[in-house]
Amino acid sequence: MTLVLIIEDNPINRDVLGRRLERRGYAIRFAEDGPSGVIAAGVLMPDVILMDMGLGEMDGGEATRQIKADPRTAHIPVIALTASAFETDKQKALAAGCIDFDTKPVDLARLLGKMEAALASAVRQAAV
Amino acid sequence: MNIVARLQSLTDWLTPDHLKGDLHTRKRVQMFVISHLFGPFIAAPIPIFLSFADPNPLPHVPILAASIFGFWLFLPLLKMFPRAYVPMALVSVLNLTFAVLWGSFNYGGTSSPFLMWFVLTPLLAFMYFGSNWSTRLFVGAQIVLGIGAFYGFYLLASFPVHIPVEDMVVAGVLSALGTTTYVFVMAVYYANVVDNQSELVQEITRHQDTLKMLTDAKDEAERANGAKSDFLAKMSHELRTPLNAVLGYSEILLEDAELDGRGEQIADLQKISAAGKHLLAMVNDILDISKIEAGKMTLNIEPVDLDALVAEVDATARPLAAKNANSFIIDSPETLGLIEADATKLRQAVFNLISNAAKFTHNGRITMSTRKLRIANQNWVEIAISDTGIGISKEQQQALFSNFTQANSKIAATYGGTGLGLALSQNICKLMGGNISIESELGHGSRFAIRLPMPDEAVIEAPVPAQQSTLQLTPAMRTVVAHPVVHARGEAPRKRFLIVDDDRPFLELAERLFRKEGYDPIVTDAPQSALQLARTMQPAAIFLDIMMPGFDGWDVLAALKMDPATSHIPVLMISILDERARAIQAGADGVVPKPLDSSKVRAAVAALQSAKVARPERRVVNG
Repeated sequence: MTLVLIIEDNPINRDVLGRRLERRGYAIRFAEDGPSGVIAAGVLMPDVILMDMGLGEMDGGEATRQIKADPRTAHIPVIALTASAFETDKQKALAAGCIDFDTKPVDLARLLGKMEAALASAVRQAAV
Repeated sequence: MNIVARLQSLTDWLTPDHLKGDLHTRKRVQMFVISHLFGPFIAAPIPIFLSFADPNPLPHVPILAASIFGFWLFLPLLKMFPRAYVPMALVSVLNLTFAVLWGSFNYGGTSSPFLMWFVLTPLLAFMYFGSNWSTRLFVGAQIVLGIGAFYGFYLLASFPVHIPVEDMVVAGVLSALGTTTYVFVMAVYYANVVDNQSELVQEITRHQDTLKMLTDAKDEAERANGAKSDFLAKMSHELRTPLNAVLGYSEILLEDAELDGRGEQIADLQKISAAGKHLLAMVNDILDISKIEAGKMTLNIEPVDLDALVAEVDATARPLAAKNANSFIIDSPETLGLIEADATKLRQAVFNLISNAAKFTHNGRITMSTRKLRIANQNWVEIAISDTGIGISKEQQQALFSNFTQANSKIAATYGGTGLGLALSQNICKLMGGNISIESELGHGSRFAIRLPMPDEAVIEAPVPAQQSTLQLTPAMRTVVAHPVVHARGEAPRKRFLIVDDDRPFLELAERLFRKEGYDPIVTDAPQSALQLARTMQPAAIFLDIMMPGFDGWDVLAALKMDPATSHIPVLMISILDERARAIQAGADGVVPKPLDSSKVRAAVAALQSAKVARPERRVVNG
């Protein structure tokens, strides 16, 4: 089963996104802030990470950079999620090492598409 | 003409043209002219008195008179040699000093009543030259030298006595009158200048105050506008977070209700979901408007296949247009080809016009017509939405494209909406170099036309279709532009997918789901026919089951990837197990987990789309 790590500080967002993904057959784990997200990524080794950009002290961009800096977790695709819709936020996310970007509220079909594309590219990377 | 005006025109006439430009120079030259005109008159009584009072006036009185009346000579000289103003003024001041000292020397020496005329030397010198260091030095030197020489002469020699000092009372009175008149006039003049200057200074100060107020107001307005943009960005963020919950949970509940067949709840939940989506659309519109106002709107300009866009609009807008029992007609007689535009934003603008038309038309007809135009040496494409609805009056048309404006508030109350859509669409079209124009008559319907600039033929490279991403395109192949989507008028070409699975109930479900999503599914339960079908039908993608009796999905995949006619078609493996890694390594583009539902279908198609954008060259591993 595909393991998805959701790093998100808002409990409602966590719950609703987690349950929707579970219903689509994904295994879900949560982290509530940046530092625990980075640790969880190393321990759980998820297939894909959904990263909220607007976290508390350590924001999503910084957490992504740390995940990408660790050779054990660098290969895990990170998809940024943010409620902000400005182009600069998208650029920031991609600059931090996110493979893709989606806005909240989550359009599940769109997000699943991006997740599948990210997973496929990760497998391709691993095969190289 | 009064005397002052005459005098003014006389001095103007005498003043050299090249000295009139600078205000200060003009004033100095005017003072030069006026003092030379009237000075001899004021001083004239002195030589006249002396020629009577002095029993032996020759030659010193005529010399004094020549010096005094000689000032008049400067006026024609200035007219004749306008460039020689400065040396002339210098000579004039020296002549004045000479006249004063000559008069005083002959009549009374150091006790002469004429010495008081010396006062005029600095007065006139500064007036002619202005106050600068060389003038001060020149004047100071004259005074010191003149008076020093006089005192020295008094100490060492004696002055000639033509008239006893006691008998020069009249000369004293005349001198006092003359000098005071002179100084009086000059003082009045200076007082006027100073007053004018202080008025000028006050005026400048007032202007500077106004300028500062305006600058402050501008800064304040910019700050306020910045604060507004910040506020809108924050507000949009804050509104999206709860909307995430509304939309997410209503979807969860909706799925549960559908599973359990609770029909009444399904309808209610659909309403919640629709209202949430509507709210989200409005939040997005407000954000877009504020982005445009702040100049932060970025467009994603790319080649857009207009024929595909028309087909897509047909497929998705038909139910929207049909909402109020309207018929929807597409009139697209010619192939439109490609333009450079932001596909998402253009689609948004077209949908906005259609949804407006549908909103204000009942039991009528909505037509989308397209054509190519050539205006002022520029190719344009026009996408027009016309309806047979309520129409818009001329006055209402004026306000139509302003933010937050609807034709009138009563309409807003009846038909709803924020009134943002049109303004936004107009702004977006303008950003893409085009515009939206309107023709409408009250009661007879409206016609909104989007016009966008079109490049000359065959300039834009065709977007590389997803299934060709593994092909190495040579530049020559890229310039093959015209691959219009051929379709009968008003009929959309649907994306075609091939689904291969031995499980018949699954195939039926898949066929239904794909059709519901607006695609054209071809299904087969015979894996051996998959290859032939793929070759002839050239589907946009193939969905391939892994577990099939006798014929493993992997074998089919390998065969598809070996055949050059099918190797470019993306393949998604259908599987209960998580076999993504194996699928990708075998050359597939992803997996679709069983059981299938409509969101998975959408996700799979979206994955193909984003793979098309993001994917580098694909690595195909055989075996």
